[in-house]
Order: sequence, then structure tokens, then C-alpha cells
Amino acid sequence: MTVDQRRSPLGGLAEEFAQIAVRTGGRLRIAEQPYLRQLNVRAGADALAAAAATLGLALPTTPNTVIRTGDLTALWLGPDDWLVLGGQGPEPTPVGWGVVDVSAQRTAIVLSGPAAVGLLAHGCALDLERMGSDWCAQTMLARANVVLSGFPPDEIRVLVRASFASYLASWLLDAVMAM
Amino acid sequence: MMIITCPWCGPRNETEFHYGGEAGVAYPADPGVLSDEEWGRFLFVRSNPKGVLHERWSHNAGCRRWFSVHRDTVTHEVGPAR
Amino acid sequence: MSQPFRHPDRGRVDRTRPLTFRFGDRTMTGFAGDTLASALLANGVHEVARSVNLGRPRGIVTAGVEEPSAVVQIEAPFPEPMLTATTVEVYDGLVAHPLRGQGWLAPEPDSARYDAVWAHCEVLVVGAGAAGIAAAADAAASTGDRVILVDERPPRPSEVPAGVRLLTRTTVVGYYDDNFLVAVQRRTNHLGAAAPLEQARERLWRIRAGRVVLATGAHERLIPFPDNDRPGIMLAGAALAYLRDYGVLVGRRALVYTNNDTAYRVADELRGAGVDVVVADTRADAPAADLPGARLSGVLGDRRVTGVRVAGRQLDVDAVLVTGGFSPVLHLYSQAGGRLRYDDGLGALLPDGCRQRVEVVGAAAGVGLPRCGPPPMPEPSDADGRTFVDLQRDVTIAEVRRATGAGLRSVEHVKRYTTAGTAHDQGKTSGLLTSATVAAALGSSAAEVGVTTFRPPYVPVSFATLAGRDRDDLFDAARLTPIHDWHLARGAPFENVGQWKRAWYYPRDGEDMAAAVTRECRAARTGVAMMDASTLGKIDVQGPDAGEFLDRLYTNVMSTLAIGAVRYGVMCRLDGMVFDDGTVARLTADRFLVTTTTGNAAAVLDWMEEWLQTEWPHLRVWCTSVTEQWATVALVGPGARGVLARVAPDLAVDVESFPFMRWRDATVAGLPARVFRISFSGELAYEINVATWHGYALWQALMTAGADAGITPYGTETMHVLRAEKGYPIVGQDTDGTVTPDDLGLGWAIRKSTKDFVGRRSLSRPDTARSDRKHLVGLLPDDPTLLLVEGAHIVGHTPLGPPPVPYLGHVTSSYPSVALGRTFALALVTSGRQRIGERLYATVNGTLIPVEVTSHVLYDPEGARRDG
Repeated sequence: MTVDQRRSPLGGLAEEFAQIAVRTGGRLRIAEQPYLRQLNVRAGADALAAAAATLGLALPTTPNTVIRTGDLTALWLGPDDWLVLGGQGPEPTPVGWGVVDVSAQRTAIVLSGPAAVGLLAHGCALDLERMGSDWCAQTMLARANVVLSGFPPDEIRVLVRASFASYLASWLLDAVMAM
Repeated sequence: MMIITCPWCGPRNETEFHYGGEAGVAYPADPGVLSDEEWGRFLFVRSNPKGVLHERWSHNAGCRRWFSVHRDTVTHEVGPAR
Repeated sequence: MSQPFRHPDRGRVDRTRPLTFRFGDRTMTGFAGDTLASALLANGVHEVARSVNLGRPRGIVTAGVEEPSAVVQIEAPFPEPMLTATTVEVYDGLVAHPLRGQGWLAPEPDSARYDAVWAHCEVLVVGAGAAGIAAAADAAASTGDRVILVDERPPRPSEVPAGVRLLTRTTVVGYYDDNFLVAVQRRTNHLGAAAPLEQARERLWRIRAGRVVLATGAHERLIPFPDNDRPGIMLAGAALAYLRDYGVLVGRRALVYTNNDTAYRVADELRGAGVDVVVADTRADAPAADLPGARLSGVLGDRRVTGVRVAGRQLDVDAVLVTGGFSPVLHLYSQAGGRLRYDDGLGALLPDGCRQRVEVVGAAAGVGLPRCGPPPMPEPSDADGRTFVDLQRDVTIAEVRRATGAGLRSVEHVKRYTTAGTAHDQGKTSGLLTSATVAAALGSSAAEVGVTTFRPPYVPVSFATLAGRDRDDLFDAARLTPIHDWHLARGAPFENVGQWKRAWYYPRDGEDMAAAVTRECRAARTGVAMMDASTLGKIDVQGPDAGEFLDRLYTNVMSTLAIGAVRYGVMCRLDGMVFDDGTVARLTADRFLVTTTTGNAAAVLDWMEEWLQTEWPHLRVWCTSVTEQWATVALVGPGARGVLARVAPDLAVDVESFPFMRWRDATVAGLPARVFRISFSGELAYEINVATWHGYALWQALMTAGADAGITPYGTETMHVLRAEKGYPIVGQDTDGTVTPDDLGLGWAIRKSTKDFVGRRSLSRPDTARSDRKHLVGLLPDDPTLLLVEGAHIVGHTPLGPPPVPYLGHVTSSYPSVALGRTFALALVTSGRQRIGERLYATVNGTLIPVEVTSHVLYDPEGARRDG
């Protein structure tokens, strides 16, 4: 059996993140969700069905929405651009569409609890109070580009590029102080 | 801070966008046949009006799509390309 | 007696909570709810400042943010310059000083936290007076609408409508495009030293509102008369506010000087509180006035009013309460793009339409304001130099008249000439007075003259508040590689490359930078060394037209690249200047991996998307950033092959199996990897890519595997020396947006075929095709120990001779080289390649250093070392 030699960008902060739930009386929880499999999928309208069939879930065509099927989640990134989260295995072989395994490109920070939206408002200009459920958005959080997605009841997943993860984690920990 | 409406993602702050200059300046089909003056005009000359300008933006921090809008350079009012 | 001017029962201060503060050398008491101004007035103190130019004693003129005069320095608990006494809330331990114009900043860093937050609402109401509260209540009646009500004052016992979010001690300072407003909330300032450290002292609110209601009220105006700046002279409405809100009498015997009817209400209420009041009205038709048709011609007293000369009489008074009418507060409205019109009946500017969704209500719209003309102007006299328009800037009527006498007609020009309206208060109480003075001097009207443009911020904002939490470590995003912790533990200083932190060099005990770099360079050229190259930009380009697409962007041809092969490539902008360089590897028939310079990764991806989407949408190509998908370690030096063989036993590493400019998939140190045989040093080198989360493990494995070969980690400084010795340019260091590929000696990378690429047409423009452009060349100082300064200018002669001295170029890179045994430099020099062998001169610290021009390739020009 091979030894897992992976090291996640925020592995060293697990304990500090755990303290937040204690400090806020459970109103806010923050945790890294490392090593999430992520496929960047590119497909024109003509190849959408083929891509969906290969991937095993439909790709949302409404901007800034999410489709979840089993352990897979597809986030809309652009009119021919998706991020498919979850599942396992190597890059599928596309025919007439494109795919890149970007699992290590970003790590996921999951915020949940009733205070999550208020915390993000310190650095995110979007009107997060008025998002529906199963939404996603690419935007700025503080000085980092992020992919946000929101799920009921109060979970927001922040996908951040690995190099920015340490900065964003520091920013979040500091923002908790300002709450 | 202006709001620019991305045709895909909807209204977002201008800081999410990258400016692309005047719209409708197409890359010449065969630059090799252009005179130096014609190429120079393509490279450097833009209309720069005081008033409504048809211009390009890219939703850089979002879906990365390019699109055109009309913007009034005096009032910053932004409307969809006509 | 303590607080002799405190009325026994009026006002809203909390008399159960006395507070002790110090002002100048006096210790005094006030009550919770006092401002510094109200507490000083309660103690009978009127003189609180000196004027900036003339040093005249100055008092308290208003009861709010519009204060033009009472500017103080806070000393404790934390120094803050130039606050208005009328807005500082008193707390225990407050220490303040009178100011003369300018204050001083704290020498130590501010330990308080600051913060910012975004907010969204359907309706934003600014100002919680009666009109604002009514508007907020109306708005809140619509189900689901979020209503925010902002008020600059501390919480008041007024009724906040249900469903309204009230922000007190919050001032909207700017109104920008698309109903974007910025407000400053003072959260703990009023607590003094008792403020909890973890709470942000001030918070910047960035509010996006569906519509805005401005209920910002009106500011009362002064009337010009000689010595109208003496302590004890204040606005009539302010005297009323001190009585009503703070229970403070501003004097015992007051003259009210007015041009409108509001004075009579003030007079009645002050009389009710026990003040002797005489009302002098400038209007002849003023039946209720004690002195109708009166002119105030003189003020007695220096540091405090003791009397006035009015209507030919002398009166003993200790306060002069002035009202010259009211100016609706339309700063925000005007910032929003709102038009203003002058209303003759009110003698004031009123809102007259705005492209944004904004409505003005209450006094700000002129509702309830008294009819009055513009402030009456005194006839020109000797006293004009003591008749003030702008108190804070010491601008008098004489100076405004001097400006118009010098030919200035625009009120904007008069403002710049006299500085009227440029102080902390931006002329809130004096703007219309300046206009009226200009109008009188020009024989024009205030309507024609208008007022100066209102610009944000409405009140002064500290830089700390604007910075918020974006300071220290959070000032900018620091991008880290997955191997960062190792570099940190090894004591490497970091070089900032864009937002990236890159290990600069790895000093051993006692080594300085020069010694470390010398050692690292020697290891790379003679042994084996390694570098964290994870910051390199990487883009996955795939699709059936990927080859064609890359052909259009690179100066050389990429579509002919074999699978498994790598090619160096240069990109130009449309103007033919070098934009970026890097390598292109063909992964499969329709998939390429492109690398970019560290600083240009995002720009290159944007460039690709721009061309794909706007010019070539028919090309079936997709570009995806994979910069952080891959960690990259460069393994460099004659010993590199041996180390790689040890960690990748299944990979054939001999020259024939794995030649230069090829890539291979392999298992390296048990990790799935892609290995490129490319070199940025001229030595045998491999760039090993693994998933980012494996980067740290790869680094450690290579350090272990290379330990007995003396493997040496090296940083960006050594990388720079190695590449410069080989004449490899760095885009952004040796180029500056005015350099063509040929200028860099990269003419070989421009395709021979006539097929177009971006920028090609520009390379045959007359200027780009000249033979005497600046070329990248090497420079060897005659003195081999002398290091040229990057940026040093190059000239052809010594001595310089008379100006203009022909300028031949500048040094772009300069290093000491252990491989060359001397210092060397790269430079962009006019006709550089034709000058090889010539002697030129570089300017260093004002002296001319003789240098020899050489090829830009100084080390191993034959390329004998790349295969090890």
C-alpha cells in the first residue's frame, strides 16, 4: 500500500478553525475540505450531452447555478465552462469537449452556521443574503479570486487557489475577530 | 463604483471587470497587405468621444467572458450594446 | 462652581454619569452624552483654538460636523489630530489641546483595529431626523425590503420604525455611481481607553442601495461683519442645540443677529432658559425685532466677546448668535450627479433632478426653511481684512475681493486663489457666503455665481479606516508555494515576484547574500542544485484547433511540435513588442501545456481568452489555468541526472532516451510526475512537476536523494545569475514593453514562413525594422570587481561634454559571476550588436565606468553543457 504523501494548503490550521465554532457558540464553523476531486469541463452546446453522459451528471446551463447528483456537484463557471466536484478516478477521455483535472489547483474551505454570510460580507461584495439555494459564483473574497457555492441550510463552500489559501485563511481568522 | 451587467452573471461591481477599450475594432483579415499608415491607425487610433462609447469589457473575476456595452464617458451610465 | 453654564434641568445628558477630562491645562467635568464642545461651554470655555495664519483666538461656532473653527488635538488615550470639538464625545480620561490649524500624528502605530463590510438594501435613508424617520417608516412598510437608516449622531431616544436597520454614529461620506455609498461608523471612539481592543474602532460600510432617501437637513450660515470670528460668536441654531440637547447656556446676555425669522424662536427659547436676548434684524421690515434694519458694525473683546456695536449703539453681551439663513445639505446629492438650482425665496440651492434613484426630503429639500435672501454684505471698508468668510482658512472679504479684483470670475478659481472652502469642513457654513461675496463684488447674483463642486468625503476620514483590515500581513495577498514552509524553516529571505513569495537565497551560518549566491551558483554549475519553480505560470490548451491557435499567438510555429517535445516560444503584443516567453509542450495531438513567466500567468491566460472569444470564436480551443495544479522543482547541474535516476528508477534518463527539450511521464519518489528536460541555466536540468499537494514530499525526497551529492537548494537570485550568464532575458526586467524579439537576440524564434502571428505586421514598421534599435548585449567592466548598477545609463564618451549628451541605453541586469570570475551586466544599447568589442561608459554614482560591449551570451556560448 502506498503512503499518502499529500499535504493540503491549510492542513496546519485545522485546530484554529475548530476553535471558531467554540468561540462563536456554533454560529460559525469553518473547516478545510482538502483533496476534493475537481474537473474543469469545457463543452460547447453540441457536446453538452456527451460530456454529461461521460461524467455521470447533467451540467447546469443557467448561470451561477449548481446541479448535484449523488456525490457529484457541477458548478456553472461560464457558458461553456464547469467545475465538477467529487467522484474519483483519472481524467475521463473527452470526445469533442475538454477536461482538465484541477484537483490540486484549489482547496475548499467550508463555512457553515447562521453567521457565515455575515462573515463573508466583510470581504465579498455580492448580496449573499439574496442568493437562492444551490447557487455558485466566481468573485473576489478580500483580495483572492474564489468560487463560492451555497447549499441549504447555511453552508457556503469557498474554493480558493492553493497559493492564495494561506492568505485567505488568515483573512478569515482575522475577520472572525471583527465579528 | 459602477455596476456593470455581465450578460451571463448579471450585475457585478466594476472591480470584477477588465477594460478592453473601444469595441468594433476588428483584427484585419490580412495585416500583411495593410500600409504602415493603415496598420498604425488600427493599432493606435480610437474615437475617444465625450459621451456614449461602445466598448469591450471582460468579466475577469467571474466567468471570464468578453462582451460589449455602451457607456457614457461623462455620466458612467452603462447600458447593453445596441 | 463646576459647569456654571449648565442649565439645571434641560438637555439629554446623563447627569448621573459625570466624566472628567482635560482641555489644555484645565481639568473639567462633563456628563455622559456631552460632546467636547458642549462640556467646554458648560464650563464657560469658548476659546478653544487659534486660527491657522493669523493666530486669532477662535471659539465654537456650531454644534455639529459643519464646525469651521473649533479644531482640537486629542492627546489621550491615542493621539488624533484635527478633530472638531463639536463631534468628539466626552469620555473619562480624554485629554485634548487647542490647535492652531494643524495637529500631529501619533509617532507609534495605531493599535486599534479597523474594519470594512459590504451591505445591500432596497432603501437607504441618510439622516434620522423627523423626515428621515418618516421616510424609513414608509420604506419599511413594503414587505421584504431591507431598509437601512444611517445617522451621524449617537443613539437618540427617537423612535426607530420596526424593520429598519439603524446605524448610529455613522456618516455617509461618499455617494458614487449606481447608488454605491460609503459610510464611516465610529464604534468605540466614544469609549476612550475603555474601548475593547478586539472590536474594530471604526468600520467602513460599503452600501449598495436600490434607492436612496437623503434627509440630511440644512446647515445654518454666518453673516459677515467685522471681527465675526471672536469666541462667543456662534450660529443661532447651535445655541439652541446646546440648550436643548446638552442643557448648556452659551452665554447670559446674547445678541441674536439675523436676516430671517428663525431667530425669534431661538430668542424666545433662550429667554425661557433665563438668557437676556436682544434681536437685531438686518431687515427693515421686522416688527418683532428689538433693532430692525440693524447692521452689526463692531465686536468688542478679543478672546471672548464682551460687547457689540449695533445700530449705532453699544451693547454689553457675552454671546453673539448669528443666523444668515440655511443651506440644505446637498453634498451627497451633488456627488451623486444631482443638479442644483438657486431658490431666491430661500436664498439657497435646492435639488433639481438626478440620474440616480435618489430622493431628497425635509430641510435638505428646503421644507420648513425660512424665507431669506443671501447674507447681507457689508460695504467695502477698512474692516474687510477682519471680516471673515472662511474661519478655518482665515479668508476674509478683503481676500475674496482681491481675487475678483485680480480678474477671477469663477467661484472655483476664487476658491483656489484664496483657499476658501478647502479646509477640513470644506466650507459647509461658508460656501454660499463666499459665493455671495463674489457676487457682490462682481455685481452679479449668488444664483449666477453658484457654488464650488461638492466632492467626497463629506467629512474627514482617517487613512486607518480606509485601510480597514488590509494592513500588515493582509495588506496584499501573499501567494505561497506548497514548499514555502521548508524555505521558511531553512531561513531563506523571500523575494516578492508579483504577489508570490519566492525563496531568494538560502544563507548558511554566517553567510551574507553574496556568499550564499556564490555557493549556490557553484553547486549548479559543478554539482547539483535545485529550485522551487512552482510559481511558473502554466496553462492547459486543448481542443482540435489548439496547434493552430498557438501558431497565431507565438512568433514561432507550435503546431509542428511532436508529442513528447517541448519548444521555447515568444509572444508579442500587437505592437510587436515582447509580451511574454515560456515553453510549449505537446501532451497529445490536441493538447498542449504552456508555461509563462511568474508575473504574467494571468495576463497570458486573459490574452488567450481575448483572442479566442473576440477574434477567433470559430477555433475549438479551451484554455485552463493549471498554475497551482502543479508544483515544479528544477533539478540542475552536471549531477542532476544521477539524482533523478535514483528517485525515478523506471525512467530512462540517458541522453538518447531523454534528450533536451523533451518531456516524460514518470514516477518520481513514488509520486506521479511529469518531467521536462528544459534548462534556464544552460546546465543539464530537469523540471519535475507533481500535483501541488505532493510538492513538499517531492522536495524532501530530492534533498534526501541528492544529499551525498551535496545537493544545494538555490533561490531566485542564483537563478538570475545563471540565466544572465547565458544571456537569457527576463521579460519585465530586460524588457520594458519597447523591446522586440530581435532586439533581444531572439530573431531565430521568429518563423520564416509568411503566416501571420499577433504582432508580426508591426515588426516591419519603419521604426521596428531599423538596424539601430537598442539591442541586448553584455557589458564587462574594465575593473572585473566593479558591479554596475541596474538602470545605469550608457554613454559613448568621457568626459560627457556639453548637454545634450547622447544616451545609448541602460543596464538591465548586473551580477557578480563565479563562473566568469568577474562582474558582468546585460544592457539594452543602441546598435548594440554592431558595437561588440567597443568601449562605452556606464554612469555609476556620478562617475563614468569604462566597459567593453560583448555578446549577451557570456557563458558556454557553444551550449556544450546542457547534456551534462
